[in-house]
Amino acid sequence: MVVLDNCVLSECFDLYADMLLRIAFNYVGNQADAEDIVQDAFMQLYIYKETFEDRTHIKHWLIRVTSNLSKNMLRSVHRKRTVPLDEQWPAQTPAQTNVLELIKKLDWKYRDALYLHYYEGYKAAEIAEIYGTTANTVTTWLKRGRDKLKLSIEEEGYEY
Amino acid sequence: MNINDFKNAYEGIHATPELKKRLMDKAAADSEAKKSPKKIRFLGAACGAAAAAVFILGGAFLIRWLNMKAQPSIVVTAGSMPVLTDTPVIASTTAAAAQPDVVFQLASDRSYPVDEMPEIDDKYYAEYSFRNVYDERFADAPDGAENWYEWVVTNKLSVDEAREALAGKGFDESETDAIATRNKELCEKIFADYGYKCSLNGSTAYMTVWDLYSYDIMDFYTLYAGGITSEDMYGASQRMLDIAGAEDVCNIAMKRKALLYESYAKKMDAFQNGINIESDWALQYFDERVTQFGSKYEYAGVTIDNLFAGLFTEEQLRTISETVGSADVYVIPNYWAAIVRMEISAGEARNALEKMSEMYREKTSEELFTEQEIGLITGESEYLYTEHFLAPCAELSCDNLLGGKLIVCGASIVTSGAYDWLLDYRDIDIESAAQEICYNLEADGYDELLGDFRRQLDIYKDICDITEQLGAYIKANDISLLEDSKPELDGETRQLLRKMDLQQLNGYTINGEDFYEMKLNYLAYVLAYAFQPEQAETIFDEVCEKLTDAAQKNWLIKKKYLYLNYCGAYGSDDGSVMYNDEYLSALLYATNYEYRISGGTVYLEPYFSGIIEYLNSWHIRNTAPMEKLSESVMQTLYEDKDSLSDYTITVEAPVGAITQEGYYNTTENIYLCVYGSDGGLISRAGSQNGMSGLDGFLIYAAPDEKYFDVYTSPNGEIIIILRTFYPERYRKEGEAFLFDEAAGELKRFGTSQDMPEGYNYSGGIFDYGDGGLEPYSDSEAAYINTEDGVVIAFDFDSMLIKSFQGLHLRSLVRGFSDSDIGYRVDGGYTAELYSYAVEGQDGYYSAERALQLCITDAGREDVFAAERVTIEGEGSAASQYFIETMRLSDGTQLIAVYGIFPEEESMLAELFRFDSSNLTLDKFTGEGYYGYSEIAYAPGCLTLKDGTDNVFLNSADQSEITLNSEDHTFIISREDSGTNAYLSSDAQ
Repeated sequence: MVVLDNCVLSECFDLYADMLLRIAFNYVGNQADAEDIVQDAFMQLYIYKETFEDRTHIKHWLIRVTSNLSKNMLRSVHRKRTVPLDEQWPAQTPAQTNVLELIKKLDWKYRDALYLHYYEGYKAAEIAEIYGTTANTVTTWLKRGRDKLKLSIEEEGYEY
Repeated sequence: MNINDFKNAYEGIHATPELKKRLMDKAAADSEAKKSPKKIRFLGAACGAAAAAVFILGGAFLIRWLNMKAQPSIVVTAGSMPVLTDTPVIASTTAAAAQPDVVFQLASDRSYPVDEMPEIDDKYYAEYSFRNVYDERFADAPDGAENWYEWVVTNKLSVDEAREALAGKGFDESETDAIATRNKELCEKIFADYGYKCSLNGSTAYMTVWDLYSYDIMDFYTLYAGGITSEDMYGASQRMLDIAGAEDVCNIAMKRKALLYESYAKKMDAFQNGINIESDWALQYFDERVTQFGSKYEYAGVTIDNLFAGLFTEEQLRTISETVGSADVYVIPNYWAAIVRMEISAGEARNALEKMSEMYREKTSEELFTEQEIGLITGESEYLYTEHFLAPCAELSCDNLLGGKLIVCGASIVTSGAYDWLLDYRDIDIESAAQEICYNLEADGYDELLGDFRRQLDIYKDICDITEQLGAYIKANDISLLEDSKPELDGETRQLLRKMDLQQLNGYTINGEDFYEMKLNYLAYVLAYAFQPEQAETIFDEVCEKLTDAAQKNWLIKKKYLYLNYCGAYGSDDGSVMYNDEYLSALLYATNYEYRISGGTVYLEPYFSGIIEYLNSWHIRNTAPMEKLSESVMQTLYEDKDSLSDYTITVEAPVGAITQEGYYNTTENIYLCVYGSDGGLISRAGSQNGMSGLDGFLIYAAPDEKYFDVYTSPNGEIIIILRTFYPERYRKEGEAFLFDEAAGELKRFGTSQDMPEGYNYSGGIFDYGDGGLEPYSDSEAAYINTEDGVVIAFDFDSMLIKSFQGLHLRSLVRGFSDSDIGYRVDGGYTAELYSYAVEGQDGYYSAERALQLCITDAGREDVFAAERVTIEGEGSAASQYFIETMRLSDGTQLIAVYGIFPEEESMLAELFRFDSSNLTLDKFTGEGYYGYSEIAYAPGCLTLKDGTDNVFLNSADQSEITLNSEDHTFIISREDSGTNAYLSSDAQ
């Protein structure tokens, strides 16, 4: 069991913040909002009163909370109505930027699934556990996400 | 662009040390606050102040307005601009238009008397914003007090002690004096300022700096409505930059906000230049929102008038449309509905109710709540509470006897999040709903919050010198009715809805990104209760009787049979839809609902999306109700067609729209069920796919077209009915053929009237293009299209219907119906996978699949090759199939049909070789179990290497892909990282 304290919080931040930031980034598309979300997620963790089984449990918990917080932010009319800043994805090459832009257009479940699976190396069953769904559903997300990404990449004139 | 781009793209995203510092500082501050029992968290304080404002002001307003109005109504504003004033004008014009008696401000942490607002001051601007937004200055406030005045009073400091404590805190001498000497009046000004003064609807309200920062408030339209100009925003932006640039307050987030302000300013400039605010703004506002949401259909048929119909007077409606034009109005039907979720003590509830009753009685000489009712509300008996109070209360509400409406407005989000101000002290229940952060009201923190809240009430009462204290506060949490994550209603709500006059549904208009979904849910909730099987008809009739509008009543009555098949619905929180029979029912309901209220125009796209998805999954979960439902609906509509003739329906569901939504894979899959202007049925549009089981409802057929219905008996016999489609002849008689599978023959045996019992509908064959379908010569297994003379015949080997000439036809008998995949094969051919699913004993569904290859030419298709595909996993059936293609070195193409098996988390493939030189499609020997893996590659770039069937070469990067015959996995060896092929499997 892991008891949360500032040390654990700090450690978790070091371990997972990048990942969570990317997840949030997938949703909101700019680093500033993503940072806000990640900070909120860790604060939620900090005030969370239950214990965690292990670091993996915390990690899964954080992923889901980050995802939910991201969705919350997207849901707010504020965000709907506000004029987005022209922040760029912090990718290093134009191709990467384009990929991220295309990923950003995917539905959240595809984004999350693709990211967690291909970048973080999660299996479908693990992703399913995080999001409280079935592995089958995640597999479908992955498949559809890939298809959609592929289509959009090709539509952009790139080779997939 | 390849997978490495995907991976590398994220490499630039890293959490900064500043972010960590911010977090750890915040955690430290939080930890510190927890140590002292006197300390309260910022949120609690903010909420407390809000509550104080709410109830004190609310109480004051209540008293005043009760003296003015016979029918008090309550307005709860949430999340938006603060209330304000001692006049019946509030920041949210939608609420203002309701002319409420009582205003409860829920979300802002401050409310201000109109005539005491000071001018904005940059210094306070900075301090206040920091304190409230980032907690930084607030963390400096002693003992978590709301402000320094409160702290001085609470700690009973002497004047000197106070002066000492206040030194260096940013107060000037006069302010320090005011606080130290407990000059309440001055302190109120000090701590109740820093707001923008904005003109609104001829009156005045205030928006605090805090509000400007709030996500819920940082809203261009709200700012605009509040009279904020671009100059204001430019100024604010500059101030923020100045603040951010100051040495001791440097904050990246502040700079970001400054940029945001600037963007607002720019937009305001544009907005102001193009819009006549007095007359056009509402419409423009509406259009803007629609545009922003990406689809005008999202606001299907909603007009300002019907949006608020039944809630406001014409004059009020006009006020709304001239000002906000927003759909930001939620209505909940009675006081009880607002109280029910408060979880306050019985005594507090009693105090509140008695106070309300007293106020009401003073004005109207009538009782708002009887003693019995109060006892029931506050008592211990859940049974009494529900059965004896709620239902009568709901009835009172229906009869409009409770004196007005509890209106929740100004909320900037459509979900229950509008009330996060109270619930923000939340714990997350990770074990509950998968997609939502859940607010655990049972958690310890909630009680703590309430405790702080109450304490704040008292403090605020002292500050404002208002002796009236309400012992309870209303949380208008009935918006939870709209929670799309809620799978079903609790009994109380259902009781409520049971009694709710459906006419009020107009008032329950929901807006936002999940507009249609919310709407569906709301309607579904009503229906879910109203049409439970055991009492469906009775309640239905009761509901109909409540409708006073003849058109509504007629409309509803027509739909009776639709709803009798209905027993529940749910949606999802992410904009997607859930795919059960009930939900489709709700979709249909809503479609018709929109159709009704839109005055002749129906926008169906959102619903189509759901229907498409529904259909997409339906063949997997082939259950009976939908078929039953469709039959009922069709029959009902057929019977009612004359009464529908007054309506003209314009269908605006452009082909391809669904594809944009990403729900399906071709532009053909538009399903439409719309009642035409020709007296009822029915202009139906749709593709030829996905119609299994949905006979007569979503099928595509134009009048006079021929189509097949296919029925199967439990023993497997097949009867095919050749019908002519026309609305008035829906499921009319048709030629009947018995398909003798063993003999491979179709034998005409009469008409559909002669069909034996025990046959179930199992699919249809449609879409023959123009012309009719007639038996071809003496062959009963072949037909000729009279339009183009094309002969169509069954292929008894493949069980396919084949066209012999260039006619587009690609349906299958025996229920093969759903085209899972349409995939372009190199050379202009299209491979399509059709399926027929049956439920297996293990609970999974097995499926038969057929692969077809077509030549596509200008929208016409020839089926020239087909193969059965049956892929079975171990212990389960594939949940999804898809196909991919590759080219072999001998010039043929390889088509892999994959099945995904959830239990094994794996895929299984059957491979087919397609030879375009002689148009043959043959099984390929390289079948195998690939593990959970998948090869993604550009079609045509994979070639068979060295004559072996098991080793492929990716021509793009020369990587070698080997099929391991032992464990049936692909192995990829790359020579460089630039491959555009990859594996994602464990075997990798």
